[in-house]
Amino acid sequence: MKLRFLLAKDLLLLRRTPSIAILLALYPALVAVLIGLAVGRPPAKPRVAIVNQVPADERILDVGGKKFDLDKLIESLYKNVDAVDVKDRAAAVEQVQSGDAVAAVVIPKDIVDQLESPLAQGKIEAIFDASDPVRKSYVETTIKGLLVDTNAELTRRFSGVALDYMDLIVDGGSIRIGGRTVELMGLEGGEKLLPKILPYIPAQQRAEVAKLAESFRLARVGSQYSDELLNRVGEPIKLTEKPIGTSSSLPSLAVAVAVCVSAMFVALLLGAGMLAYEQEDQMLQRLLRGLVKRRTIVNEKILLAGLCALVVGTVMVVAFGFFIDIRWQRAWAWWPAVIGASVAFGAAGVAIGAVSGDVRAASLASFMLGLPLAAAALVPEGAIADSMYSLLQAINSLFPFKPALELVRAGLTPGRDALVPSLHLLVLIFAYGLLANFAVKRRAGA
Amino acid sequence: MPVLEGRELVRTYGDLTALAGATFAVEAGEVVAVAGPNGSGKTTLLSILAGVQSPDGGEIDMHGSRLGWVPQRAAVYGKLTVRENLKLFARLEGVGDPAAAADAMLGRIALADRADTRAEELSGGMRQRLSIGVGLISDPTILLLDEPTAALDPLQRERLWELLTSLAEHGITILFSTHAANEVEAHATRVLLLDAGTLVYDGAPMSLGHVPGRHFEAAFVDFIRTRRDEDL
Repeated sequence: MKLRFLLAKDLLLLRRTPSIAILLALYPALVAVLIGLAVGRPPAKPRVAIVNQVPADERILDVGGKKFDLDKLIESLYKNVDAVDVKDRAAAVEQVQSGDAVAAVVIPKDIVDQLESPLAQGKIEAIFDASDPVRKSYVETTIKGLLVDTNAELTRRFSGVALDYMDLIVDGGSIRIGGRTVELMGLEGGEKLLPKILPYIPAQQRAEVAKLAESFRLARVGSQYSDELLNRVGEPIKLTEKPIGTSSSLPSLAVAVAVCVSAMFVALLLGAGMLAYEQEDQMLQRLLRGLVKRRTIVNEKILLAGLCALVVGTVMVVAFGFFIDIRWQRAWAWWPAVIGASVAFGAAGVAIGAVSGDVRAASLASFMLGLPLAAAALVPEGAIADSMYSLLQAINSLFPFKPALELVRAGLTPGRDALVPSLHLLVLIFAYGLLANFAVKRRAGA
Repeated sequence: MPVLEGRELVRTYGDLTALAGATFAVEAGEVVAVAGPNGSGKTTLLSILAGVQSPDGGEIDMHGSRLGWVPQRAAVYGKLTVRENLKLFARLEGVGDPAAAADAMLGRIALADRADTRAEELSGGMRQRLSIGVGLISDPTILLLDEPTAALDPLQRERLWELLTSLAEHGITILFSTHAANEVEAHATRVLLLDAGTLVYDGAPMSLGHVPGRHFEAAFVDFIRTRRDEDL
């Protein structure tokens, strides 16, 4: 009953502090809109300047008598980027230096000769700004990605030419060599011809001719595998993806992160601030001299912070629904997850407020602890040294962000484990509650 | 017949002895000043009597009295109105009809015309009267006040003492801490004088080495100085 009176009083206090109320309403809406727009729309293509130095009337490639349009061959260069054609190399460099383009690709004038030559390898030039290591890595990956597609296309076309040659060897036909057209019999023609001329061959040499005919046959049969073999040359290793665990879409991860970050800050700041506020002006002493039990104050503040964080978290999920596909039918799973996360953050906030003692220190401590701990929980395995990752894991286990994130993700995505993070949060709620009780006892000087 | 007794009350904070075995009794209807220089143990004694702190030694006998406590700072919620503050504490005290108790208290502390004003908008004196109202809301027989006039100007102080005197006239026993000798002289019927945690005097203020025509504060200071010299 007394908890209800205190809760009503605190909600009235919040209502009468418009700046906090507005912040609590606007903050999650703003975060949801920003993240929603970011994950709900396809990522922008990187802008790449392309200089094609080959004159327009010389963009025909002749490989093995087959003619290819160079523009078609390099079409994939344009496919995955926001390509902008520039007139020369200097203009391309200027685009990169000014930041208008992340990179420039220069297709040299002699690329046609290089590709037609059986001895040379085609070369194109990539220009990018290496002063920012993060951007450099991104641009390198982008350019390599572009060339993978272009090379695959060239391999497919060149393999086709090679297969045409194989067909000529097997089936026979005409080929132009040194400006003359030459007729080839082919393995199949030879195989058919040899039995016919066998009676005219002296008896002691017939066995040799029969061996030759058999060789023709075996070569023809063997050539049937050339199609497959050439395909293998083009792609010697084919990657078969076998993901394990429950797949979780990027938007659902983004929702979980946004909900947890928002709920965390609201609950930490409110839990810490409201308990610290209670300690100012000897209010805590007044309440604790028999009016209210210590644990009632602690539980009420956890409930208050959890309640506000729950409202914020729920509003965020609903707001995300305008941008991405939320599984509303799983509300029975994600809403309790948001409740658990909110209460756990509230307990952590109240403990911070109890230890800090005054509102300013409590608010500062909430930010200083919340921000790095949330960031630490988002570091993926393998991104840092094993020992450092183990240390982060140990730290993460003491703070509710990581289990809260896992629980909310489990709520949003079917098949993910919810039991372990739930138990983890329960332990943390209990531990932070105890810590807050102990700190309040010390503060009250009892 | 005492309404409140403290026997051998001890409280320490680490190596510091805040209260070193204070023994005293308070009679019904008395206005008792707990006086002494800063750091003498006045707040500690009142906090122990109020139940805010536990003593490390000794015992308290309340003789069935109900205690109200007014801390040094006006511990009220600034964003709540005067009436809401009184009603909240009436509810927390378990008063039968909190709204009626709050309305009655508004008259007693002379804040009826400010009932719907937020506490943060009140003057220091009014806020202190509200804090006393909160201390009185459970209808106590003894009211403990920790330096109630410390942050008030002379006019507000006078107004507050009018209220406290009226409470005493209505039979409420009052214990207040102060380091202002003039308040002891003007308002207390008895003084408990503390120095460095030790109760060094328990009696009428006028018997504290007071010579007619001499300023009371001088007698007050002389008494403590003399006692300290004797100890040396």
